[in-house]
Amino acid sequence: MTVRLADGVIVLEGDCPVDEAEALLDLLLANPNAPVDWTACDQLHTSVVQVLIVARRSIRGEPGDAFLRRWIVPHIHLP
Amino acid sequence: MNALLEQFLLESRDLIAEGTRGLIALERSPEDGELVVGVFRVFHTLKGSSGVFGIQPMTRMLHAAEDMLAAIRDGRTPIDPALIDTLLECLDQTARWLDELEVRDGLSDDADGMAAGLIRRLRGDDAAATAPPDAPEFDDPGIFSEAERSAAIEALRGQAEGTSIFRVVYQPDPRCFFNGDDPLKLIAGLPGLAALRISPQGDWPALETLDPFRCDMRIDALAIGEEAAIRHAFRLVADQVRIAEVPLRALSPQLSPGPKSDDIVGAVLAEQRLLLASTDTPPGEVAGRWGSAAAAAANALRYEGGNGHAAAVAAALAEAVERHDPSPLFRALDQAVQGRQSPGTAAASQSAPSPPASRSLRVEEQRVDRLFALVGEMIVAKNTLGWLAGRTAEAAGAGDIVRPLRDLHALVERLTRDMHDAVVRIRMVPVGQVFDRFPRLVRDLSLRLGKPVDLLVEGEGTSADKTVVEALFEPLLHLVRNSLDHGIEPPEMRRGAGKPERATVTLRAFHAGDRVVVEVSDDGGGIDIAAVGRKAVDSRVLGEDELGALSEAEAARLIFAPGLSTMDETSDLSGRGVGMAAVRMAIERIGGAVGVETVRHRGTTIRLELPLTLALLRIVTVSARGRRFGVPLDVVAETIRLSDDRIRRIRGRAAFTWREQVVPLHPLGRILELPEARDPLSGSGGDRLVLVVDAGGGGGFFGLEVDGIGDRLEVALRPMDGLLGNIPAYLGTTLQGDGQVLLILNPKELPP
Repeated sequence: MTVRLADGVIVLEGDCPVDEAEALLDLLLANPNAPVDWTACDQLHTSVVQVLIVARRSIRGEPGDAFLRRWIVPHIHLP
Repeated sequence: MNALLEQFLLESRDLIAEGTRGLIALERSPEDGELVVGVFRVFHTLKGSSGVFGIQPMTRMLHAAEDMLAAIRDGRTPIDPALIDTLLECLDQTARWLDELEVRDGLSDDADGMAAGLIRRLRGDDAAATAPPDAPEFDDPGIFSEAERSAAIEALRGQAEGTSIFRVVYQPDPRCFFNGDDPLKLIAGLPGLAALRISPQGDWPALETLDPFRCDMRIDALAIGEEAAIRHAFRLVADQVRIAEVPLRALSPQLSPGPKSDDIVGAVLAEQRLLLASTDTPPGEVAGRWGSAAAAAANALRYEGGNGHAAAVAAALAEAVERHDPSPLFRALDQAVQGRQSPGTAAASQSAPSPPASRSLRVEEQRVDRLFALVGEMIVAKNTLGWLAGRTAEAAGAGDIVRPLRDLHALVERLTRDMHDAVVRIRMVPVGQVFDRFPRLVRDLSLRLGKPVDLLVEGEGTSADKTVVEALFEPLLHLVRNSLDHGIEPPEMRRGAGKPERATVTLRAFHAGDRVVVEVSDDGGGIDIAAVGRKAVDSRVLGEDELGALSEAEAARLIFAPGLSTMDETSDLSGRGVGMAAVRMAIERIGGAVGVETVRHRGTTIRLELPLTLALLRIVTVSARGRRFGVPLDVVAETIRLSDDRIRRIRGRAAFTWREQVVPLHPLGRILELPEARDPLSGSGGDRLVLVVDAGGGGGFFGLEVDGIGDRLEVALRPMDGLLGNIPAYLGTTLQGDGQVLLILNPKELPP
């Protein structure tokens, strides 16, 4: 399980493949105020990034993966 | 503000006006190559200057617009109203940015976004379709931030030969997720990624409507490396990717390593040289291109104080045009470049003969206004001198001083009047300044209303005082809107009436004696005078019998009466019928008059007659209930004394007979609702002092009863502004000899 809800926070962990996009979207819609924590995230499929960009949800932490940190963070934090 | 920026603002505003005119003309005659070249030159010069000042968003946007115009010029892109709209908006945006620069020396934070939005609109959705298959889009480095671009250039240094910066545009197939594609993973595997932008292909959907399995992204990237390696990374999605090398210059001329101002100027110069050298200039446009290159280069040189070089470039341009040969310009540019590198030669060329500088002088408006105010104060002082001379004459035993004092007063009077005239002349500006704003306005309105309209402008060079010209805009705006909204019939109705579908609105200005006349004419339906009359009776502006007595022309003038609207429905364009009255009041406030001529089904002409200058106003001072006012002498037909037995009561109102007509009598104190003063002079039982005033506009005469009549003076009128500007009873104020402010009445607006 790489996308889950824990204590009101949507947590992304490890490798999030394309299938996780729908799960993430469902969680975001069901918990409109829940922030997203991607500290433990290694890899995000484009479809998951797309959901995060569209969601403009507040994001916690910094992902472990260098590409995500360097290139994707600016797009998430500055939607 | 630095002087160069000031110059830039002035010039740019002129260019924007020129560009706007050109674009509107171009929309009507898209085949006119000269118009395209003219507009191209405007955008190019604006872009060049904005580059000098490092106004990046403006430079990027204008650059994109310039590309578009180049495409139009070369016949690659057709002209359509939407494109003209966007180009006009670019000019609007530039104008707004100039205003921002003037106020706070910088652009607002959203400037980058605004520029990017306009650039996207310029390129249009079909940009991809019209571009050749693998066509690069590296001419929009603007989508990357300055930092990203300089980082890319920085990163390129020290790389092996054969590496370049590549622009990558990756538009993944929306169904690519189903094929197992992961576009960002491809990007992550790209060697030398230097910048990344993720944007929606259209707009991002709302989260609720997002289809997580549909890829809606567009990915823009800069990558540094060898072309083969970069292409290899995308080999599986080659049909969705466009890759092209970015010339460093295109990444941004301003971003050559080390952002010193020298290099900016150098880059601008280099770019102008490139522009001159380009061989794709169609014949006939050559001179225009030289002109814009020279202007941009001269501005850049002046920026760093190289006035000598700038002058040399200007001189070289003249020579080049004369000889049909750009080589003098090349030489001048090269010399400028060399001169910049070795200060010694720069000094030498500083002393080079510059072209004769006898053109007009651009002076800030405030300085002239200050001069104008000073002359106004001198006139006050002069009036005081006159008063002093008068008192001296009354004093006994001063005979030998009175004559020289009077002579001196006469001399000072003549000098101040001449000086006032001279200053007033400085303030003369062409009405074109105001007319210029209308082609755009008429174009937009005509599109909105679905009524095709041509605007003819005549006599835009006719000049009048700045205050008069500036005061014209709002009344004209109202009249032009009225013409389009109410005057001009819908096209089908015009067709039915045998008129051309395209209506014509004419703005015309000309001098008539010491007045300037401005007319707004349309060939629309004309005013329904009978309807105006009915309306006037309904709204109790006048009685049925009075209406019957009016001639057609007099009845047409009723449109200027307060509270009348001829249209049953008001529209968002023309307001609620206070309009024409407001126009009349605005014009009368600056000493003008309005008139109307209308022929049913043929059209309407509204005529505004204005003073050429705010010349000295001749007034007479009067007093009422202990206060003093000025009354313009030109409306006073006669000053009379009335004994009580000549005053009659008609329907409860006071009136008297003057030159065989019955004239109503209004005491000034009561009209103005002044508090009663225990003035021993008033109501002393003697004759009453009455000014017979011509109310103008067919309103006849009325008597204005005052308590006292004082001096006749020449004064410089200061129009009321702010809140006071809306009080119709006063024309303005003037300073008196004793330093007090005197209110000048507008007698035409006085009767209750």
